[in-house]
Amino acid sequence: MAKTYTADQLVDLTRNRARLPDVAAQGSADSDVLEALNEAMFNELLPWVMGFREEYFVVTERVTLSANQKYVPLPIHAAGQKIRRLEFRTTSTSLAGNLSHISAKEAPDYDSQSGNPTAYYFEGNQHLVLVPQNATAGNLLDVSYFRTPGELVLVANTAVIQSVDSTTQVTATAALPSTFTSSLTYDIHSSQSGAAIRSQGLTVNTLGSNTITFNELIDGSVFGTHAVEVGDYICLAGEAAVPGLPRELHPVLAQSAAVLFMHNEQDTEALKNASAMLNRQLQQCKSLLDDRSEAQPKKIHGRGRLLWKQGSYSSWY
Amino acid sequence: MAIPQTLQRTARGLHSQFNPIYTAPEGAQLEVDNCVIDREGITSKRRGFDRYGDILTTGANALMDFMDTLIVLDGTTLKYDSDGAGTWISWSGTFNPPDANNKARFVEARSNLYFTTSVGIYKNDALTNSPVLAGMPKGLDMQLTLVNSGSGWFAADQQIGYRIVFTKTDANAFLIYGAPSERDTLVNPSAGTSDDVQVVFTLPDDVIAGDFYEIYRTQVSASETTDPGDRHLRVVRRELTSGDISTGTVTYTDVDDDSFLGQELYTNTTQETISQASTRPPFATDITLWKGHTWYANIKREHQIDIRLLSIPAVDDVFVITSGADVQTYTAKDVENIASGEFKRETSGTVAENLRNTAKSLIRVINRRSANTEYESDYISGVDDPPGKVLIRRIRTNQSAFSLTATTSTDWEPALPSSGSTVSSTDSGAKNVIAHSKFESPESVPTLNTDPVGSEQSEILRILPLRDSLIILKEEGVWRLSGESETNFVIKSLDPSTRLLAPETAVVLNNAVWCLSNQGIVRIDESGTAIVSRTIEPDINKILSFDSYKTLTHAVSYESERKYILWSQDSNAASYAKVGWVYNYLTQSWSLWTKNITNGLVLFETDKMFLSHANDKYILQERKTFATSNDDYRDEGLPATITIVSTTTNSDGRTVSLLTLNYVYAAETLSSGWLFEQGIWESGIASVTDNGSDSYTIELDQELSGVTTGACVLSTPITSRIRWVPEEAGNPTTSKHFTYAQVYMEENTATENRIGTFTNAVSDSEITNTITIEPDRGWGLTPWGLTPFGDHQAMQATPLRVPIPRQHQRAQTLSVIYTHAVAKENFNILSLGITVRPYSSRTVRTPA
Repeated sequence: MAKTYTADQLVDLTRNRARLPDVAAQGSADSDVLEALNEAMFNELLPWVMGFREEYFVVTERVTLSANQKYVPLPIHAAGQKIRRLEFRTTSTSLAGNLSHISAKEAPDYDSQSGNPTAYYFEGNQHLVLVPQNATAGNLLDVSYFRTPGELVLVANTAVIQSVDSTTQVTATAALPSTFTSSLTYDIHSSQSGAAIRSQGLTVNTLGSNTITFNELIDGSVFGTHAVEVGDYICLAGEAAVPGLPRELHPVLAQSAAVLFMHNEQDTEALKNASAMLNRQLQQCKSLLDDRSEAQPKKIHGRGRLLWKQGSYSSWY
Repeated sequence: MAIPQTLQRTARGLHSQFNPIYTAPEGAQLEVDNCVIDREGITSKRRGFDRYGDILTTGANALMDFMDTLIVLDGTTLKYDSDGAGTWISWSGTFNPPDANNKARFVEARSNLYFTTSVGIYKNDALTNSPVLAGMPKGLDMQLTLVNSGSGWFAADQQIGYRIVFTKTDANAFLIYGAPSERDTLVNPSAGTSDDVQVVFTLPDDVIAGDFYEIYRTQVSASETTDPGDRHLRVVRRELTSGDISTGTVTYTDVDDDSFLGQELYTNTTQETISQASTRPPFATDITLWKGHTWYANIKREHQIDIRLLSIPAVDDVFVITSGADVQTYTAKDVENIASGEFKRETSGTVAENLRNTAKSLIRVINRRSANTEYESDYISGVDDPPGKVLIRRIRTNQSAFSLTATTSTDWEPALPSSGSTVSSTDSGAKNVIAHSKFESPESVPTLNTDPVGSEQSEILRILPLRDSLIILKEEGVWRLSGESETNFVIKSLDPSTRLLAPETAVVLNNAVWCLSNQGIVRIDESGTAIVSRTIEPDINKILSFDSYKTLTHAVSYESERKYILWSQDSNAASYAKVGWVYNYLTQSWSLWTKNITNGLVLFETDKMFLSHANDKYILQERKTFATSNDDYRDEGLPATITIVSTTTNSDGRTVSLLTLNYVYAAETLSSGWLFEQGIWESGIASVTDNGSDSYTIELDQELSGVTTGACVLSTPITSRIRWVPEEAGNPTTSKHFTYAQVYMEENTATENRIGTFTNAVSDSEITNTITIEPDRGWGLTPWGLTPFGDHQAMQATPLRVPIPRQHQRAQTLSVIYTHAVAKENFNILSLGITVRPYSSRTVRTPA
């Protein structure tokens, strides 16, 4: 089984690939290498993986709408500030339907309708606009989006969960990092391949030397969250100790970062070799990432079929 | 595309002076610890030093070479190596160096050892004898009286003169003359008869039974008023008896007429003249031998003062000699009493006779009084001098001044006060003066044989002989004395810009003087001065910053090894020399040795270097067998006692010996790399566990089946470390990718090799790779194929190749370090190879 790399291990692997010293003056301190890894992850591998359209990185948040709410903020971790899908519910168990993505100029056509929103459009970088606006308080909106992987930080800046003491408290294996304060928000992610997000945006209730209690439930009982497990990492919001990529891509990530260093180093010969290796690795990984359900190929529903109609509540697929 | 290249670097020795990445030459090194570069371009391990003989009492203050035997000054006791194995036997006497700035120095001449001390030059003529003050004392006072009235050879109306000379024949059959006494004359008046002459003369303090006295006399003069002159002929030569010594005087009746007179006194005007009286060597801080003369530098004669008696003191008037707490009082009386210090005030003759005889009585009392062991006196009025002139002097040199006082000041010239020290002695010494002996007579140093050198304000620090010159090192510069004999000796300034800083660093090597000077370490020959420490000038300048470097820094000359070795402190806190800067003048390379050393000497006969350990109270002898077993390449062998013998399985899965032993040695800590020996059994020590209370458990490299409890020897390894200057591959500004370092050995004689690296880019300490080579354990014990068939040839050398650690691969410059610390292993490094690929002109990736 391929190894799952922590950020620390990736830093070391990157240095090995690029034959870099661990020295700030040479631009290859830990922070420098992490910066290169994150750049490679966000600019190279994240879009490359998303290009397979196999639902990597997709998460769903549930937003409770208020009466007459028109604007819904975009999830702050949405990659490319785009969303994957919107589902409108009147109750948690009652799916009203998918909202259609329309252009803003079509909104007046929908505004005339009354009742629950049936469509949305984007406005700027921050919002999507429900059309028509939500009428009834308590309606729900399930927002699916491509969550940007957490920015890689050294394990020392995170805490590894030793035990889950209650629905809100965990105990770390060692003292919590000094950067952890009660005023900040936290994410918890898995230590396994993909570093799946267990919970995010957690706020602190109490902060001990090596225990932390959150205001939110961490037992997975809240929609969009998953139960925290021993071995998971607690990180500052938006950070991660393990790259949010399939584990097979972890060495590729290090190679990609090494290529960046070779480029910066102006070592053209090494850059050429490193780039060739990166391309070879990417090619080889394609077969791993594509067609995630190999025995059951994705079923394609034509949008022009008879049952399809604008604004219907049927599924896209 | 930049192609990786392998750069080869040889050995050029220490180069701390030059810009290491621009101006240092190929092969320059920044560390060459405990190595030598005796073969061009090859760095080798230095030979070791082993404890030699018995432990000393306080440690050696000086080493000397006499009769091919090592002499040590152990505290204040001189000891000689009685059996060539370090069994020290003491010579009687206590000896201190001349002063705090100068150690005892020596020269071997006429088969004798001459050495400097705080009280003058001492000699020893045989290992089994003990040192004595060099030279023979001057003859002292005498009393001449007419005897055998009417039946002698000395007719009436004649005058005659006498002188006394003391001589000695030493164990090497070398005849030593002292200076003759002042001449004394006797008148046989016209009214007298033909008589014989009785001579009674005083024995100096340090003549001994077996020495000789020689009585010389002039021929009789034409009349009682005619001076007999100063041409003395020998009357008799006789050996002093213990009875003579006990009595303190010798009485001799001269019954032979002139026809029996023998050889001429050597100071006769027809011989050497009185100016060449063989006075003893002066106190000196340095001594050497050149052109058949023994030379003394920075000299002092005995403290002395001459006075003149102007009138006869009254009864009970006193004459006092004072030096500190030592007060000697001589009282004028009508009757001479030597034991009581009473001299006779003569009043029965003419004024001149009274003055003469009173002065001579005082002199006699001073010379013969047993309570006086400090002073001697002579009557020095000559033929044309007024009567009553007295010289008073110290018996030994380098003593404090003394002063004279008297009851009636006007009795003396200069007027002697009743108290105080306004009339005091002087020692006629001068720190800018050299003296030389007569030709091939080291102990005969006429007072006239002195020459000032340069300013009298500037001290002579050392004198050293070259083939055609005597180099004189003064505080003010370098002087050269040349010539072939006394008739044409010439002293000239050679280099006023070079000043010796540490006297003990000046030695002769390859017909040149080498020393630590204000110009660094210099080589001074007959044509001038050359700086030899230019390449390590920062290190030498550091020595000059230490408070005590002038006295603690010393040097050894090693002619057969072509080496100058300067031992110095390594820090200001060090109270003795800890490092030796070693220069081979043929390869022109510097290296550094580490050892706590106070003195060093290469013994002429064995041609081995001996060192005195600074804190182990042992003399160390260089291991120099040239044995193929590499036995030379380890330091001290230290005794230990095995208490438990067992075996264990080491990390390689082999069964090896595990020994528990007791061992004490404060100077070094037992560790891996040391060598274990018990009889024929020996092995390297792989690991050490300190059990406390001087007990250790050691794991050996192999199993030694014959080892038993009991005595064993642990030998300390020589830790060698070599660091080449940073490798910049021709351009220190470009970034490079270093991939491999290779050390090329002449032979695979070093089994545990460490190659470390660091770069300009990374401040991390050295990262080390260990390369282990299977040693040649002998036929059947070495794995098949690793050694030539039959193990009868040296193992073929394979390069010691290590990859550069990732941390050090990308940099502008790479430093490589080789270390080796296994006892009884040698190495000869032929070159260092570095594989490197320059790739970019960038020097730093991102700003720090």
